[in-house]
Amino acid sequence: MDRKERVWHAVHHQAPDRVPIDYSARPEVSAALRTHLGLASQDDLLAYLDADFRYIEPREVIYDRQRYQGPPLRTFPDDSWEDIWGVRRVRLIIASGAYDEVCAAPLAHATTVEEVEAHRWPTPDWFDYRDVPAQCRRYAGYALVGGGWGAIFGDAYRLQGLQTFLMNMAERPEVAQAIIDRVARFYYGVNERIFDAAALAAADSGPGLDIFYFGNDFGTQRALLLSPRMYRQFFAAGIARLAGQAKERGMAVMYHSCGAVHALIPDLIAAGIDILDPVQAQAVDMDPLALKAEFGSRICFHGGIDTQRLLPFATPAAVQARVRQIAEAVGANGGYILAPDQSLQGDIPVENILAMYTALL
Amino acid sequence: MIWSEAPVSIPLTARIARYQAWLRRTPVDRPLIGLLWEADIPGLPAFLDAVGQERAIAPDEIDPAMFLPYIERWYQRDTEWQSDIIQSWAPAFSIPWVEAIADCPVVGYPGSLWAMPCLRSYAGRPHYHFDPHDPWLCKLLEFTQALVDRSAGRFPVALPQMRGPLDTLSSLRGAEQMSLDLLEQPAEVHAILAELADLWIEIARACLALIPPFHGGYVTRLKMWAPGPATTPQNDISTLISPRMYREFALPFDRRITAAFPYSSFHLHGSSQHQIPALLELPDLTALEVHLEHTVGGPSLSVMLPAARRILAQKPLLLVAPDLETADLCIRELPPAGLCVMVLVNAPELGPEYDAWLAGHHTRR
Repeated sequence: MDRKERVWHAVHHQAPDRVPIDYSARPEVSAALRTHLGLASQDDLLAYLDADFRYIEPREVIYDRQRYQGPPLRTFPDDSWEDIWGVRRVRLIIASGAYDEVCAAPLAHATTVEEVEAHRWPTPDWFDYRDVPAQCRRYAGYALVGGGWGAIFGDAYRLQGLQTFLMNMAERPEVAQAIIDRVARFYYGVNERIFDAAALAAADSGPGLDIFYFGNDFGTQRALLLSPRMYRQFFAAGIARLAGQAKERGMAVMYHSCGAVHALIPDLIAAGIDILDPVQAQAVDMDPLALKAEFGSRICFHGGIDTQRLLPFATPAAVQARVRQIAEAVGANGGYILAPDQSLQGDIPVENILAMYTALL
Repeated sequence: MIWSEAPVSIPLTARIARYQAWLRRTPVDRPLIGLLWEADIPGLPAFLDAVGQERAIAPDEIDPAMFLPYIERWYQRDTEWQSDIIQSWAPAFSIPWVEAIADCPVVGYPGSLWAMPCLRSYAGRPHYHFDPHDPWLCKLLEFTQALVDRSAGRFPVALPQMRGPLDTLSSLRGAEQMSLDLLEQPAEVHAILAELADLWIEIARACLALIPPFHGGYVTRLKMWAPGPATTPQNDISTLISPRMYREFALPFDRRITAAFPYSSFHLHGSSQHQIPALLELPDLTALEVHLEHTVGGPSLSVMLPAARRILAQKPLLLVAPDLETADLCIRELPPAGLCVMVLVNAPELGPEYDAWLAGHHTRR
C-alpha cells in the first residue's frame, strides 16, 4: 500500500496498513528538530518522520509574498504593513516565535453594503501559481494537499475587527454577509487557479491534488464563536461551495477549525467535509475517542494529539501510550490520521515530538 | 493610630470636603488625585500551590487572617503619601465571590482564580435566590467582618469586586455561549438575569450590614467616597456586545441595582466605552469609574478623552490611568470639576517618582 492509497483508505473508512502520519509545526520547532536530528532540509525531516502528506503552495496567500504580483501593498513608519485585504498588520515577537497580528481593520466602520463593495478587494490574479505543477511532480507518491486557505470567517472578521464583525452578524447581517461573500468569491477564484495548475501536472502523467484543505476557527476552548444557526445563515453556503469545487475534481476535503466545534460537525459533514482537523483534544466535547464513537463512520479525524497538556508536559512514555490509544481506537477501520491537534509549538520538548512520531513503529 | 492621626499631608476632613465637591461637580482648582490599588491574595502563586491548582477550591480553604498583614503593609505605605484618595480595603480581589455564590466552581490556575462555567442548559436550571447559609456567602461575610475588626475605624471597608448579572451569566455559561444566548434564547436570559440581579443586591446588602460608616460615609473598593452606602456595579463582559443589546439585556438590571442603593459608581474598562451613553441613562447612578487601557490594546486616548468629557458633562468620573504620564495628560486636558484621576499601582513598594508626583500635584494647590 503506497502513501496515497494509505490515506485514501483512511479517509474512506477502510483499514489502511497503518495509520497515516502528518506533520505540522511552527518554523522554529522544525528548525529545532532538524538541528537535533542533524537533518539539512524540511524534506529530510518529513522523510525521517515518515509523513505521508506533502503540502503544495500557495496555501495562505495572505502571507505568501513570494508569489504576490498585485499592486504594491503599503507599509507604514511604525513597521506595520497592509496585507492583500487592506488589513494592517504588525509583527509581534514572542518567546517562541513571531506572529503577524492585526493592528487596524479597513472596514471597521463600514455600515452599508455599498461601503463593503467600494473596498479594494484582492483578485486571484495577484498571485503566481506557475510552480504548482512542479511541486506536485516533486512530491509524487505522497498524498498531496493544497488549495487556498479559505478562511471565510477569519478574513471577514479581520476586515472589521472581531467584535464589530460579530456584532454586525447580529445587527447588520447584510453587511456581514456582503463581506463573507466577497471573501468566499476570492478563494473560489484562487482555488480555480491552484486546481487548474495542479491538473496540468496530472495531465502530464504526474500527480494531482488529493486533498483540498481549508478552514476557519469557529471554536474557542469552551464553545462556538457563533451558533449552528448563524453558521448556517452566514457560512454554510460558502463552505459547501468551496468543498464542492474540490469534490468536482475528485479531491477529498479537509476542514480545519480549532476549538470546541462538536455542535458543528453534523453541518460540516452535510457541507461535504471528509476530514476534520485538528480535533483540539482539550477543548470542550472534543475528545477524539468520543468523537469517533459519535461520528466515526461519517467523517475522518486528523489530529487529536494534545498540544496543550500532553505534548508539552507529559513524559515521552506517556505520549507514546496516548498516541497508541488514539491510533488504535480512532483509527479502527480507518477514519484517522495521526497529527498534533495544533501546529507543534515551541513549548514542546523535541523528545516528546519524536515520541509521538515513533509511537506506532 | 487612627487615620486622622496618620502622618499624611492632607487631613481626612479635607479629603472628604474634596470628595463632596467632586460629587456635586462644583468648580475646583484641581481634580482629586491619588493612587489606586486593591488588596488581593498575597503571594497568590504560593496560595494556589498550597491549595492545589486546577481543582475546585472550597470556601473553607480561604482564611482571611492570611490577608491581614498584607493589608497592614499597604495601609502603612498609604499613610506616607500625599493623596486625596481615601483608600478602602475589600475582601480579596481575585476571588469571584458572586459567581461562587451562584454555584460556579472556583478553580485556581497560575496567576488567578477563575469561576468556571457550570450551566449547560437553561432547561431545568437551578434558581438563584439569596441563601444566608450559602458557604461562599458565609466566607465573604466572615472576610468582611475580619476586615472591619482589623480596621477598628482606621480605614474604610468596602464591598468586594462584585461582577454584575451579565458577567455572572457569562461565567455560568461561558462568554461565548452567553453571547449566543442573547441572540437565540432572550427570554431565558432575561429570566436568569433578573434572578442574578436580585442575588447581587442581597449579597451587597448583607455585606453592607456589617460595614460601619467611615467618618460619615462609605468608600467603594474603587475609591468613591459617598455620604451613604455605596456599591460598584459592573459588567465587564459588555465589551462583547452592542449598545442595543446592552440596553436590552443589561441596563434594566443595572437600573434595578443602582436603584437599590443610595450611591453607585459603575466600573468599566476602556474596551466597554461604547456602553457609556447607555450607562449615563441610569437615573440613580452616582458616578462612572473608567480604566484607561490604551497601553494594553484598549481604545486610544483620542477616543477615551472625549468620552471622559462627555461623562463629566453629566456625572462625576473616577478615571484610572495606567501610568503617571497618562494621569498628567488627563489632569491637563480634562476639566477638574467632577474629575478624579488615579494611577493604578500593584504593590506598595513604589519608586520615588510616585511620591514626587503626588507631592508635586498637591503642593500646586
